[in-house]
Amino acid sequence: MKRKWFSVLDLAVLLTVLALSLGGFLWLRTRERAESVSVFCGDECVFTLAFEDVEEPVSHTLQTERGTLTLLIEKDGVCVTDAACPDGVCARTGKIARAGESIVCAPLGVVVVLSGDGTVDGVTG
Amino acid sequence: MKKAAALCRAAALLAALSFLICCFGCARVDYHTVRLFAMGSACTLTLEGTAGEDGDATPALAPLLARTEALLSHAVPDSAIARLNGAGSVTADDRLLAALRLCEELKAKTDGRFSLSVLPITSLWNFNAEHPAPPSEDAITAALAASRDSALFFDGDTVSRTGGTLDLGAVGKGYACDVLADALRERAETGLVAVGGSFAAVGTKAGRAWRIGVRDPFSESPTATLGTLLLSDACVSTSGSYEKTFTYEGVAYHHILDPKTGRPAESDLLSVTVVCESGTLSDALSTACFLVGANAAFSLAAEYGALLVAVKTDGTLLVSESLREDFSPARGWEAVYR
Repeated sequence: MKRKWFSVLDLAVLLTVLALSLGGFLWLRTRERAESVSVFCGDECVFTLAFEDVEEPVSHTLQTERGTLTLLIEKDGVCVTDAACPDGVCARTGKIARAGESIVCAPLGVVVVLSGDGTVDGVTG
Repeated sequence: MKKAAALCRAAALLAALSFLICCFGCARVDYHTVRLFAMGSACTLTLEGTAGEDGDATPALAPLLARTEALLSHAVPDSAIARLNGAGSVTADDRLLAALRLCEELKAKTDGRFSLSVLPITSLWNFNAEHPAPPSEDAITAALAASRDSALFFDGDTVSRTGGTLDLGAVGKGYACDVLADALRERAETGLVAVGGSFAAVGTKAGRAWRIGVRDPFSESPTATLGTLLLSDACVSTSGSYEKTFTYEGVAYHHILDPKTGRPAESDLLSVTVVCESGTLSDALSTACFLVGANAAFSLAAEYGALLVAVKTDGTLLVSESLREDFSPARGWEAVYR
């Protein structure tokens, strides 16, 4: 008698597990949307906020030793709307939305970083 | 027989579940990132483990940045470079001597277009000023005269100079990357060191190459990239005319100064990214390659075994052939390999 090593149910379970594995693997590697924003003043993390907790755009003003910087945090990204720095590079950066992106205001010592998976580890330039 | 079939099914399920666990497990990265300000730049250290826990390399590495700045900055009284500028000679350790020798070599290979003896010129332009403005013709002429006939001389562990005082802005960030990368290697750890736009990738990131984006010089956003480099045990630095600029009476000025003219360099390149084994070399070469232009840049880099990603002013993206496997252009960019 010919012996069946796998039943239809066995194969269904195996295929489901494999599909879940591959789906999860690809999802982890392709998603780019940031999950949270962290704001650093000097070496100190002032706050971290998850984008899923942002329901309405919120404006946040940081008072640093060298001046103020205002952030606009939206559900899908963050930008600097105003900063008391001489060059205004941070405000010109515009809105950042992908994990790994950052806004640096060197004169005020402020760094805004988006976190999440599937992104670059840094940008040279 | 029944028993064998059951065992076989169990083994197959176990293998599939192991694969599932591996897929998710591999994506977990056990690193943390520390952000600091040093050498006039934002610096990040991406290190193994958890911040503040036993084995965290931050307390060992972070002070090295300040020490390196205190060694190299001409603005720090009693730094090696301040003493060399003031007294005309200084004793230095092997690393600093090697960096200064390399820069003198690059100066010779670029016919003087790359030089560290440019402090009279860089302080004249002062791109860090609140309201920078181009200096007068007379002031540029005087700064050029002060920088003329500059040379470094080496005798044992002593270096002395003639001519212009030194500004290590073209090499300092890469040098700092080397210092921190070596400290990580001594601890037998992997990590990523970033000092401004210079990076040192030590080992791999949990078995995968570190992913470093190359900034798009046509975009105002410092986070827009033209492509991604995959690096492991390598350093990368970029020089570009989009960084540290100001506009005065409708004319744009950038910070890469040509020691021959005393003015922002005229180059057919917008940016040059250099990949090689040393941070000091990648930093110095990126400036040197920008100054000599696209054609000479590739042959100069080849002399040091370095690889380039260069963007010309007409938008052409030139990439070293040997980077074909490790560089992916972003959407909208087409690389010309050479």
